[in-house]
Amino acid sequence: MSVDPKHVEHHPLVASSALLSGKTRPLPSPVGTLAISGALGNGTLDTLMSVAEALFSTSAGAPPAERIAWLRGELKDFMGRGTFTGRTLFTVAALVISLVAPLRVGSLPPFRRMPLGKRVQALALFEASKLSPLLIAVRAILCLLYYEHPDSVHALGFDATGPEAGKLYEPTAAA
Amino acid sequence: MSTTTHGRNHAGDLNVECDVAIVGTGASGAVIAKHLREAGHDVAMFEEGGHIRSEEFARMRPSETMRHAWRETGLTATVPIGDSPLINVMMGRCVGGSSAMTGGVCFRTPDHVLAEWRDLHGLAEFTPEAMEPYYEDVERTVHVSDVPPEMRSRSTQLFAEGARKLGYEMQNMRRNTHGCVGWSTCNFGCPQGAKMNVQMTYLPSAFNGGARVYSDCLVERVIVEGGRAVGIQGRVLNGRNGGPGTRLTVRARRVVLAASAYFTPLILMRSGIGRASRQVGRNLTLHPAFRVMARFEERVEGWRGSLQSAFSSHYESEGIQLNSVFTPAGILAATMPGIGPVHQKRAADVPHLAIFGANLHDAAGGIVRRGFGREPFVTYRMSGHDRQMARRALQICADTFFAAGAKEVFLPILGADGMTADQYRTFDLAGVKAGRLECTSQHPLGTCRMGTDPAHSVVDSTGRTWDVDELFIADGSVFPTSLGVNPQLSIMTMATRIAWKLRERPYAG
Repeated sequence: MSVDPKHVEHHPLVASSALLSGKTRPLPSPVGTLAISGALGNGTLDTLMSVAEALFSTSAGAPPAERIAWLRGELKDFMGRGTFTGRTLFTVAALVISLVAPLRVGSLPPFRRMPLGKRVQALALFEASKLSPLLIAVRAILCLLYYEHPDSVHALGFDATGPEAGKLYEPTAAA
Repeated sequence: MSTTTHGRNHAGDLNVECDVAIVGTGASGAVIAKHLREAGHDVAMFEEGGHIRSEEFARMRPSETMRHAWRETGLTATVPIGDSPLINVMMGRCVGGSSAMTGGVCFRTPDHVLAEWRDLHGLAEFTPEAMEPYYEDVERTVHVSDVPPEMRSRSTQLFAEGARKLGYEMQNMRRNTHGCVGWSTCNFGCPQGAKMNVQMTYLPSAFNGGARVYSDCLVERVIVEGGRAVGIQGRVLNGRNGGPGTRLTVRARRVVLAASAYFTPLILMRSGIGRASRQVGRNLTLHPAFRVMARFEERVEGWRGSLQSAFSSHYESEGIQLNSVFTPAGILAATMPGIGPVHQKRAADVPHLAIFGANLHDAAGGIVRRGFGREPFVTYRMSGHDRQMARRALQICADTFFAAGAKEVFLPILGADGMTADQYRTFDLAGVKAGRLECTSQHPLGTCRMGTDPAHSVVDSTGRTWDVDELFIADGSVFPTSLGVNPQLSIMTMATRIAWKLRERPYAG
């Protein structure tokens, strides 16, 4: 579903159309904020994007490829600014999902090579297992990022409009 | 005018001289800086995080705030001991500290808590009357006022309707805002600068008076000479990828630690201070918090209105505080079970969801220890009483939502699906292990507690450490017990009290 850019422009919860169209940097990083201090491996990112495709799929199929690509960039940046511990836990979670989830539906790992329908089934069974906290942790971060895309959050029924550009906080407006 | 030195951009070692070195720029450090600067002291503040201006916060998405201004991008967690939940602890890591990411809720320290401090911890000066001038000063400075009922979101209105049917009332929340129109994004930055956190209040006053702030500076230890604190040492975060780089050395006549209940004890441990009492890092309380969601037939659209507008202290005697909350739609969707079409169907219910939260007035079950890297290793054992109260809090919230007409309630239990009223009635809530509860905290307190006996406390009633002269602690770590209510105002008030005593105190030597 596509949305009128005016509808979401400037809303603090979603990415701006300028960001999505590449007219601004992927992250309008303010002065002196956390730098990228590490990175998830490409294999981990591949697994997590295959989880995202399954998690956010509808009866019509997987979400648009460009949205998954956007999510991948956001996740890479987000985890890159976190700590080594956070990245390690996320990597372990991805590894366990990749190896264990396929076995639940009688398939061989890795998870990312399974067809979409099988991935959905495998994750549903994984979610019902004692290992579910790993999937819940991964899902929390994927959802946080995925639903900052205006099309994704609009599909949820989120319909708030942001403040008009001229009404955003400016330091001169501070009383 | 801001006098910020961005450590990230600083080349070479950083050497600073000042009267008072303050470690931390949050709800306590900023308050101390303002008052001491106004009294004529030469003040320098040191902050591990970056300096993000308020107008930059205003433009950030939630995930951007988390990755730029929250400690560990919001993934900090305690290690549970025994049947305890894993608790996600959210803290700020930027100039302004956690003050930049609060919901703006302002409660005074409850009278019964002050009575406990007086009766059990010997802090006789902490009477409501004696604290009044400090409260008045803070509340005036940060614009504390009632949130009017018309600012309540539909989510909060529904919970209030249920509460009324069950025989208890909601009260108006008090918050530090000015011109709030209800964007409901307070934890991630206000798009219109209406949240009167320290960046909008105390820090500008301190800067105008000439206080300096050094961001991207990691303070590791206190320099002690002859039993007296004479400065601090650490690293400037100008190394590879923003990591520790050149040396930070500060010579000061007085040091004030205001680095939070997680990091103040860590600095003391690294400095070898406070070993005798064995209390440094102990007695951590967190106000474990739980969110219960409910699905209604109507569109609730809880994102319209004040993030936190109402509370109930009806269950205070049981150690439970009920607070209105809301979270961004994407985070709500994350809590919905299911995969693929099942998850999407659930997530499409987000506009129909209401949420309410509960905090526990917990016992001191946590310990902060030195970790392998820069972050501490924190364990938390939930007491048996608190485990019971956690389940009781979920029961109260669920009962209230069903009384309001909810079709389904989602309890914060790992792997649990939504429950209809019939399913809830037969659900064995009492049998749920605390380790399965989804739990968060924004209120770490108590790891350098105040007292009158050096054997059982870390600081005296003025915030001075027992072991080292001219070393003071002014943050939430000095609270002898948890409060049971959001601590922002209490932390600012305690810092004001300590600052007013410090500004007249002659320097040692």
